[in-house]
Amino acid sequence: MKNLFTKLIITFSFVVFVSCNGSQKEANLKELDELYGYCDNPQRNITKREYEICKAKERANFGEPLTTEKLTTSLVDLIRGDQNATYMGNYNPTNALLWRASLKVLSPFPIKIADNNGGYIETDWIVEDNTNQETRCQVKVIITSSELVSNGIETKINCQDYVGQNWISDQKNYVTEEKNLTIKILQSAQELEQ
Amino acid sequence: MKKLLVLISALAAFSFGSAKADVSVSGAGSVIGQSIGSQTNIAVGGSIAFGLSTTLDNGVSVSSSGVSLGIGTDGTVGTGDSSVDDADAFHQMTFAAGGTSLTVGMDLEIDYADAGVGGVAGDDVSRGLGTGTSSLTVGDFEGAGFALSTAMGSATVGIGYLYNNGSSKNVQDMSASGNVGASAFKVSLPVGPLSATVAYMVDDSSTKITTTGANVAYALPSGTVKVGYVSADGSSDGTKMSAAYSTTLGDGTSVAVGYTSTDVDSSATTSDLEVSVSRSIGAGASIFVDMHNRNSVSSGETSSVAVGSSFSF
Repeated sequence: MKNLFTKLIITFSFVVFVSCNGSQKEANLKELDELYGYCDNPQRNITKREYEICKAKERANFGEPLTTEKLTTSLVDLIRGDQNATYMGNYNPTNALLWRASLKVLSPFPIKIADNNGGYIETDWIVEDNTNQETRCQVKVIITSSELVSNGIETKINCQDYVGQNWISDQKNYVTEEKNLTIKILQSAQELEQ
Repeated sequence: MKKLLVLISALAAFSFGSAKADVSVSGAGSVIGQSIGSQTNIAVGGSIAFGLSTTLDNGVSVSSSGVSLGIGTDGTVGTGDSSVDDADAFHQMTFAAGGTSLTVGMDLEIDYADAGVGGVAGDDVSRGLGTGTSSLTVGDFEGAGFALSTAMGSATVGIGYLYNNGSSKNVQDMSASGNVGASAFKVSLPVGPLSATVAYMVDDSSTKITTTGANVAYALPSGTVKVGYVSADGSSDGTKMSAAYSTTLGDGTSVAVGYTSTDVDSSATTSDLEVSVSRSIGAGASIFVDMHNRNSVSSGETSSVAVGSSFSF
């Protein structure tokens, strides 16, 4: 009976491991956190010592629900210092995570301007390949917030066509591509935060 | 041109997954004064806990509960908690991917069916209270085994199995003849405006304790109401019904009231009333007052009050 139960556990584990319900489980846990409190959530498994620390944090949280991010501190972040904001010279905050994420996402392309003070990144002209050099595009990223928020970044893609002997703007909007780029930078920033 | 745009927009699909390891730390300390009967007890304690984690290139995260150091404040008067180090350090390892996690451990707790909600005060205020005439035994479900947690739609499911209940040795023979197993199951899901949790656990010991538990939580505009029920069959059969209400005042003060009624076999019913009031004072610190009143005890005190302060990071 023991062996059968063990095999069932292992088999069931393999099956559900390939399922993609990560976001659903996190949503479920957060709903339970709001009702039971993080420490007493029946679906969270924590040790007794962790529970005592959790309750102390819960009491000190001004009555607000405790979240996973507030439970522990990363030693890596402690050593590196506060990564949530950078202040250069005069007060001019640029969210460090959005900054690093933007550089990371745009790293395949040559960077022409990277101004941390102003939160501005501009790539050099990007040409497709040697077979088509009559079109080029440029990406601009502006970080508008000191906090990691979804509207804290703006992206712009400009493209030009070579007509005659001049580069002329193609007068097109690339809303979808700009949106995809923004989403990817935000995702990368969230990964860096974790 | 199209290829160029595809090249730029393809960044949205590019995977930036990379292995990332981290050590996390958390800790808390407290000082508590308790008044019970003729005693005025002072307890000082705290703990610091480390966790290890990493994310593999394939997206699977691996974590382990690391070492913790500390002394509890809920020890017996005159002796206290002498275990500074954590003998169970590194006894659990969790693998998680796609919302499912599997924990392999030597000190796993799977007492899922102990679903009472009335214990809102800390353990310190209960120190020295007399044992109730009705005291429900749900068994000790902690040992070596596996625990699985996953989501099925809006439901969250947990399954636990101990191949050796009660043993925490980090190297074991799963098939040893002397092993005593235990199994547990729990599921939480929304039921209209409520959230319900149902759980069941059973051990393979000679007394074979079987416990069924359930609780329901409902969010009111002013706070949260919870109701719980536990039924255990083993050396003694009994039930435990409980209810709790918790709310937060606008100034960061939290208030919780809990009531538990325990009825075992033909013994007189024991009732526990607990109240906890806490207030944050900033910078991770708080002050709190707990009260616990118990009627129908075999002997000893029936009420206790504790005042304390804690800080955390």
